[in-house]
Amino acid sequence: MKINNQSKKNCIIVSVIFIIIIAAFFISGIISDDREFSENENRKLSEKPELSFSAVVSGKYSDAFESYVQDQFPLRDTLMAVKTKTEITEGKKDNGMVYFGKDGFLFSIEKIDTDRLKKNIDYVNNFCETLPAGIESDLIVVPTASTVLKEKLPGYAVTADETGAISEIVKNSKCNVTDLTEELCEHSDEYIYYRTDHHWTSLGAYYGYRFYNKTDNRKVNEPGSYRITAVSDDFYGTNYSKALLPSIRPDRIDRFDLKNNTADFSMKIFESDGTLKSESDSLYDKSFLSVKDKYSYFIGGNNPLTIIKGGEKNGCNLLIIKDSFAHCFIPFIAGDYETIVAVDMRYYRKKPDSLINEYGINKVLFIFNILNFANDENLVFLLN
Amino acid sequence: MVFSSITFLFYFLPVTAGLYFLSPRKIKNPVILAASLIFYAWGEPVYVFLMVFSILMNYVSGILLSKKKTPGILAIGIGLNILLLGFFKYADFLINTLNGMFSLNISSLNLPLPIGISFYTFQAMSYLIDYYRGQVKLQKNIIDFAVYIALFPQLIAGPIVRIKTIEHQLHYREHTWEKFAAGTRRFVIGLSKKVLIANSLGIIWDQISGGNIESLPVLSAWIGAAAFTLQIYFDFSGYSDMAIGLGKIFGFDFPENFRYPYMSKSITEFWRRWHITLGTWFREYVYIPLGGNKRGLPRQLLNILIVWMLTGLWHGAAWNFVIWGLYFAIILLFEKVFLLKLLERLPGIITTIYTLFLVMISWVIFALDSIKDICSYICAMFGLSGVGLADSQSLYILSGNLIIFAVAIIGATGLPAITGNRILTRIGHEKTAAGITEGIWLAALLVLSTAFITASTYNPFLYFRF
Repeated sequence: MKINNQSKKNCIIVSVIFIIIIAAFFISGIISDDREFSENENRKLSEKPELSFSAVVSGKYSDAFESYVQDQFPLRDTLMAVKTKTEITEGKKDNGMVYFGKDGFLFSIEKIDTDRLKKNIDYVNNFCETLPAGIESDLIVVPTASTVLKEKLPGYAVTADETGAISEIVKNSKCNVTDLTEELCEHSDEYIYYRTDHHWTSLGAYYGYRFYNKTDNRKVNEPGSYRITAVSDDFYGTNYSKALLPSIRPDRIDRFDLKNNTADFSMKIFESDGTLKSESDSLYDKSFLSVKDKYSYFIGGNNPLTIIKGGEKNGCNLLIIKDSFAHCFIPFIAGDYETIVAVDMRYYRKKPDSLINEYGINKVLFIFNILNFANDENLVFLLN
Repeated sequence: MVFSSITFLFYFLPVTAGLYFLSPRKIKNPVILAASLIFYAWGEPVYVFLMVFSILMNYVSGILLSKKKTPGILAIGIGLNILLLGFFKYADFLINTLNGMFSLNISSLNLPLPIGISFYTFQAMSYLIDYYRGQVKLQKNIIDFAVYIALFPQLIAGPIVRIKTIEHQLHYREHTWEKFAAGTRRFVIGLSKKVLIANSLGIIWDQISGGNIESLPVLSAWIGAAAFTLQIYFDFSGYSDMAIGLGKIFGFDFPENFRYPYMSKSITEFWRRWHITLGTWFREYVYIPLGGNKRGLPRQLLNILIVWMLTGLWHGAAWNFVIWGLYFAIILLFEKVFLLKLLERLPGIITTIYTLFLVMISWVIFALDSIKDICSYICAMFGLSGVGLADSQSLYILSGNLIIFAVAIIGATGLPAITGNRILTRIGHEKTAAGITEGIWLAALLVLSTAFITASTYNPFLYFRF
């Protein structure tokens, strides 16, 4: 490979361009301020490691330094976008974490752990068996966008077998299982999943609520009875953070309020040790609308224990064991129960049975998206 | 430290190069030696002492040989090198094999393999042998000798530089803009080969080989094998390009290591174009001393068998590498005895297909550890796993990676280099426009590679078993 017959002047030009690029990144890497958090990627960035003899000898220092300079590299966000753009131009349809779907839809690439799924079904069954007589338990499984919006996926994309996992649950669960797949598929041409986030939208949750309440023989509020307000139109969700594609349109977050609302809700959020974290008279936390994690607008996001009061005084007290798909669902059912006790096992991490007496629970509802239900490692805490 | 990292590109390289070029000629070698030791210690904070020990041991062996040039002293020097390599690289392999054969229960040492030990030990041995043969001078200056062994550009992934190639440059090097520019050109191209092409292909191979191999459809198996075949070429030759380029920047001329091996028309030719410095090493220090082709055909065939078993083992202490080596030995034997004459008469397209087919199979053996996986994978390639021709994973991977495959296949030929040269000739090599065109092209590749490094968590180092 001898193509080196450039003139000396041209050799200087080539060399100097190379030196300038290396030097520019070197100098700006040194003088630029470190960032603690990347809004774009929605994660904490690595900090400068402490130099110590033991860290150097064990090799930990060099590992930490490598991830530090990679995270704090100048123009990191731009360079990441350049990479994604290049790969899409090459025809790539995913980046290992998300599929780049049609019409700006991003789909998280997920797997289902079938062994874990079987265990989780057993944990839930065992928990239900220990419930005092007369307490019914329902289980709502929500498929994700990759099942409901199949046609938005890139061609031939292989996704987790959610339908198979759901039928496994239907077959083996001792709860009254509500499978929302068919219902949501019927509305697949509506805005029922966020394009940039893995959650369903409030509209998706509304259809879920309507279907569930119908099967549960409860009254149902028709779509016309709500006043719908867009609370944000620049929501960039979790899948956006994985895709890092600047040209993706942001999502809109809608809030549904009953036109003739009579309820006066109060919401208390507790830490897992029982201390009160916050208290408010709304099911929505406006403060999240000004940060990246806007989905936490609904019931204040992921918390160990959330108590909602103010629904119909009918003596119905509901224990919800849930993941974050419940967050935009809860406002729809909040009016139907005197008390709702919502527990997230990922943060609560202990047996929730004491809540049953404390709040006079007379019904339990599990609500999960199928991937979380199949892969979550904390449902074991239902039993101890 | 690996070349394709932010730490190397934008911290180590500018600091090292800055200090090196600012230093007066006398202390350039101490500076580059210190940098090389830091470079090595960065990834191997403890094993750097092993390398220093190896340097001292071989330096002293050289001195002893200079006092008395006897085969005994040479044998001790070589023996110590083989002992070091054997202990750190092959002890556990030997223990496991013995345990398996005689149902013993010797416990493993579980030593992590010191990176680059196979490369620097081979360089050290070549020095002792060449000195013994009177082909090179005695290394009296320990700093210069240490630079030869530890020089960071070729330290962890070759090329294996014999001392006679750079003997003169260890003491005196020219630093010119021509050399610097040639070095940057080579380095940036190597970096792009590794980061832009090899890593993308690696993801495909990992995806396909990481699933259930027994249920791979034919198409997936071939896509996977093709991806690994191209990945290892772009990765390894990319590393060599970076090493040669960095060498040039610091004034050294390293030997070429790859010459478009996938253009070969036989396996014999393939091994003259693939990892050339390793082939040369085994030819010079094993094959020819064993008698080469000078002692009749049966002896030559035996020599080939020995050399290729060792070549296989050099790539890793595991049975699949032994099988890989023997696989090539058998093909080379056939070629030697009659195939080569036949191949010469066949049209180019057929010989290329013949070579690439055998090479692809060899990489499957190389890339998969377990014999069971190798068998399942090769069965899958020939449709013997009974799964069918393709599934949606194969179609998904193929449709999303057509361009990267096309770029890689074209890149494995000499076409890009010829085209680049033609463009510069058309502009006129002496015109400023040619320099600017080339500078911008390399700048674009460097920035794009930087983007890929910054954004990726996937940046494998394939030679940790060598």
